[in-house]
Amino acid sequence: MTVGRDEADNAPRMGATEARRAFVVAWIVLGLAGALNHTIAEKVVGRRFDLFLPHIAYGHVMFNKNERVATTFEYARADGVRHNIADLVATPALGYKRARVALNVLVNKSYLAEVCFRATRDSHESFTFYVDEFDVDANPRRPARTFVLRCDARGLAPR
Amino acid sequence: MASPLADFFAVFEGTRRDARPVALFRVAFFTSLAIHFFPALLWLDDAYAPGALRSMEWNGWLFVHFTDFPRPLVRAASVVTMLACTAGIVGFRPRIAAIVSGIGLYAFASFNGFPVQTLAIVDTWALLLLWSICGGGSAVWSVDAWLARRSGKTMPPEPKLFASLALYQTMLAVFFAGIEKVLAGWPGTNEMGVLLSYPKGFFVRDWVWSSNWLHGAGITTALTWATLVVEIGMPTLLVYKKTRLAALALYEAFFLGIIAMLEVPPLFYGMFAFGGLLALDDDDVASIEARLRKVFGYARRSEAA
Repeated sequence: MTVGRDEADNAPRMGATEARRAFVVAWIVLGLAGALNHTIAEKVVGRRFDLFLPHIAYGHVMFNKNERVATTFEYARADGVRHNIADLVATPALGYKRARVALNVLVNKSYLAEVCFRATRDSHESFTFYVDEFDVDANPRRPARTFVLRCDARGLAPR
Repeated sequence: MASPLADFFAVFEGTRRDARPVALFRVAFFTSLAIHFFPALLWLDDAYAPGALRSMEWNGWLFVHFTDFPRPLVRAASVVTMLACTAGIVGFRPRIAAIVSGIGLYAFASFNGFPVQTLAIVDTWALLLLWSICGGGSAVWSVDAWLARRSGKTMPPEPKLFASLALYQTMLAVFFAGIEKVLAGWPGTNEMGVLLSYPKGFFVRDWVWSSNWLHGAGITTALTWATLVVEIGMPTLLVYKKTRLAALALYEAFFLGIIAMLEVPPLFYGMFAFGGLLALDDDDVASIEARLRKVFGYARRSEAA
């Protein structure tokens, strides 16, 4: 049996169409599976699954549950004027540096000591670090607790 | 008459007449990646120095073996990654740019999560992977198109596949962000009230902190509900032609509001705000252009000539 030119030309195109459609379906289903894995899997089947691919490794949302206790991190030099701790971090972050540094400290408390280490490694300057905890429900303008730390070439320690 | 199945797949097949929304998304996406990652890649010593405090967010193997990589290799990888991002911005072989920058950015994000705020980059991996597989994005406003013109060739039209799946990916993230908020109890609480009353320097911009009118229960409750309506409603309304332009206007206002009020990375805005523009089909672009011509009274280039 011979295959006409038109049929022969169409054969690979049909294959490509099917492959493309299979890819579209796979991508849609995978994205949906990742989203459901983070929203309802725990409630429905009692666990989450490892779906391997990085883009479905985490949920999609920030600020879904907002902490009622907010912690700010500031420092002062000898003049006593307070600045946000993000000013001591060299790596820029356009428009969100304070949030990035605050989030890093909240994720890993050691990050504050890392900021202190990098700020003092090339100088003999010392800083006072202020960690203010705000109870947002009670009074978001006045800290409920303040921790004062000393940061110098020897490291970060309570004052 | 086309079957419903063929109708469904038609969104992903064939080409677009007007490639400008995809080109705009390409420029915005790669520029946002550059803004997000370049400071850390340039400032290599701080975030990626031997002995630096690091956080494991992505690939465990890369995280563990990072210190085995010779420093010149790490520096070379940062330069290649930045070049690939730049190639994406200018539209020079965007698929290769996506592959190279995707590998590079994933490696650096795995080396240390601290300098690149993980939550902003979840969707980045999806878009870069998609771009690596589908290609596209350089039919107009690109070095590829310029090179083709110079050599007397015609650029192939923009395939629909990447743009449609990238739009799906973006809307999926927005929709499920809304669903997660509903499951977290947003309808019964005033979460925006909590968020907007955060102290100075903690996620809210200073003008928000100092604007007392923004902290009242009425406005924050309205913002809480508006967030849910936009996140859950707009991805659906963007699908329908009748509601698309109005939904897109609301959607864009929403993301503009977020970046104006909260300290979120520009990458977040670049991906989601410009990702929404991929919903515009050829007719929508023509209609917007016609309205703009009417308002501003300018003529098409062909008409002017």
